[in-house]
Amino acid sequence: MVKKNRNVAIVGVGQTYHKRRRPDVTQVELVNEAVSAALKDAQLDIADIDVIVHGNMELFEGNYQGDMWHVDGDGAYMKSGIRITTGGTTGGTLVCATDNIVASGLYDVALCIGFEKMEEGEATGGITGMADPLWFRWMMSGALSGASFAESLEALTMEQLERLELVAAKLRVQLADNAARNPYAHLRMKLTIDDVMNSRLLVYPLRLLHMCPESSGACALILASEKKAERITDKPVWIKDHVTTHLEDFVVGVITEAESTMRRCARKLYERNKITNPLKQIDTFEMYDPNVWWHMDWMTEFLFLKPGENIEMIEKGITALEGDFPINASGGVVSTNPIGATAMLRVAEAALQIRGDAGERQIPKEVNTAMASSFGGSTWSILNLLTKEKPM
Amino acid sequence: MVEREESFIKTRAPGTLAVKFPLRMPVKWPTGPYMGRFLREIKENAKIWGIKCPKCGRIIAPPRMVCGSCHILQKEWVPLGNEGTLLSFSVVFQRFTDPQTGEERNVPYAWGVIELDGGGVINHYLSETEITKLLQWRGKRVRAVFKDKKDRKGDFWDIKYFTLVEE
Repeated sequence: MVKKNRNVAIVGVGQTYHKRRRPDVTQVELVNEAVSAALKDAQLDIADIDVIVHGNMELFEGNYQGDMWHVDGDGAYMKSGIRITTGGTTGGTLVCATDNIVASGLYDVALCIGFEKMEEGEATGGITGMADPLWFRWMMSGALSGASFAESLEALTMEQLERLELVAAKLRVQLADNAARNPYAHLRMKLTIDDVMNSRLLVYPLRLLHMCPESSGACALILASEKKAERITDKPVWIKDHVTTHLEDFVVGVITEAESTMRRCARKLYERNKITNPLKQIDTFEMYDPNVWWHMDWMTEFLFLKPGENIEMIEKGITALEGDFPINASGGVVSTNPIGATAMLRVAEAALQIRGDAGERQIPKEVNTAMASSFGGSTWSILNLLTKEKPM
Repeated sequence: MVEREESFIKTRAPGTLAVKFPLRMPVKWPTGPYMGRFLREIKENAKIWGIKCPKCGRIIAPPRMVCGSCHILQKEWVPLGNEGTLLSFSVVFQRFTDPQTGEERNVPYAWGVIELDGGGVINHYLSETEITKLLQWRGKRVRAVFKDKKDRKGDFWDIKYFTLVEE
C-alpha cells in the first residue's frame, strides 16, 4: 500500500525551449523563464507558493550553491527552500521530495525547479569527476561508458549484433520524429537510419547519434495538496506513488547484482499499486534514456519484458507515438538533456500527456496513467506514477 | 591503456594519494585500510585480492569496508588470481578533459570488465584497442600485466593492463 498522508497533484508545468547554448541569459534568468511559465500555466502568483525546491548538478558549471544566488529568479525570497542534488536523478528526486513535503502537510503549494546550463562547462569531464579518484575515474569517460550495455554483447553473434545496431538506429529515428513535434526539444532534426549508423563512434558500440546531447534549459513544476489542487485547476495530475532505488559505487554492483535497480524499482511500484500487466495498465512511459542502447535494455527491465520482446516492440512500432505503448512521445533524453532538469522533464511530459496538453506530440489514444523514470550515476533509478483519476 | 608520465604523486601523509595537476590542486585521498591493503598487495606481491561478504558471499574488488547490500563489515580477504574471463569491453574514442589532470585524455583506450578466477569482477585497461580483435576476445581468458617491481608505486596502475592469454 502507498503510505501518503494526503493526495498531491501537479497543478503547473513550465519549461524553457532547450538549446545547446543560451548565452543570451544567465543561470538565474534561465531558471526564471521556467518558473514564470509554470506560474502562468497554474495561473498562480509567486505569493501563492509556500516553498521552493531547487536542484541541478553543480559540478558541470562550476557555479555552486545555486539555491542561494537564484533566489530572485526562482522566487524563494523570504520563503523556505531546500536544495537537492542527486546526480542524473536530480529532477526526479526534486519531484519526489516536493511530493513528500506537500503530502506531509508541512506545505500546501510547492514549486520545484531543475535546470542545467551545459554550455558553461563540460559534461564528460564533469561526470568522470564523480567516479572513485583512486581507480575508476582514470578509466571512466563520463556517461559515455559503453561497457555496462556491452555486457549483453558477450553472448551475441555478429549477425545478432548487426540486427541490434539496426534496431537502435530505427529507434533513434523514431525519437527524432517525436522530438520534431515537440517545440521545446533541443535536437529537432530529421534523421535517417543511415545517418545514425554512419555517425562517429564515441565509445564502442555507442555512436554520436545514439547518445543524448548536452542542453541548456530548465523545468519547473508546481505541486499542491488535494484541497488546493482542485481549487487551482480543472486538470490536476495526481502523483499516485514514487519509488527510488539506489546502488553502491560505480560499476561494481551493475554486474554482480541479481536484480537491476530498474527492475527492483518497478517491482516495488507495481506491487504497491496492483499493476500486474504494465503494458496494459500504464498508457505511456517517459523513460530517462541517456542513449538508445540503454533505452532498449531498460524497456526490458522496467516493463518486465521477455528476452527479445523489446526489439520486437520497436520493430513493430508499438512504442511509437501512435503505437499501443508509446515511449518518449517527447523525443526523450536523446533529444533533450539539460541534466538537472532532464528527469523532471520526464514527469512534466507525462503530466502534459495526461492533461491532453501535449500539443502536436499528444498521444492519440487516451492517457489515464503514465509512468516517468529517472536515471543517475551508479544506475540509480526512480519511478513516478501519475494518474488522471484521484487516488483513493 | 593511457600513456602518461605518472598517475599519482607522493604526498607527505602516509596512506594517501594525490594527483599531478598543471595548476595547484591541493587534494589528497586516503586509501583506507581496505583499498590500502589491496594496493599494497599489488605493489609488493603482484597479487589481486578481494573481500568476501560473510552474509551474501559476494566478492568485491577493489574491496570496500561494507557490503552495500547487507550493510555489514567485510573481514574475509580472498585471493582472486591474476587471470580471468573478459565479460565485456569499452573502447573510448571521444576526446574530453580528464578531471584528474586538467588535460585532454589520450584516446583511444580500451577497458574491460573481467571476472577473475577467484570470483569478483574488476574493471581495468586492455592492451588492445582494435574493436574487431576485442570482439574476438569476448568470453576468452585474460591476464593482468604488472609493472616491474621497482617501478610500482602502490596505485591501481601498478597493473598496466589485462591482455589475452595466448592458447
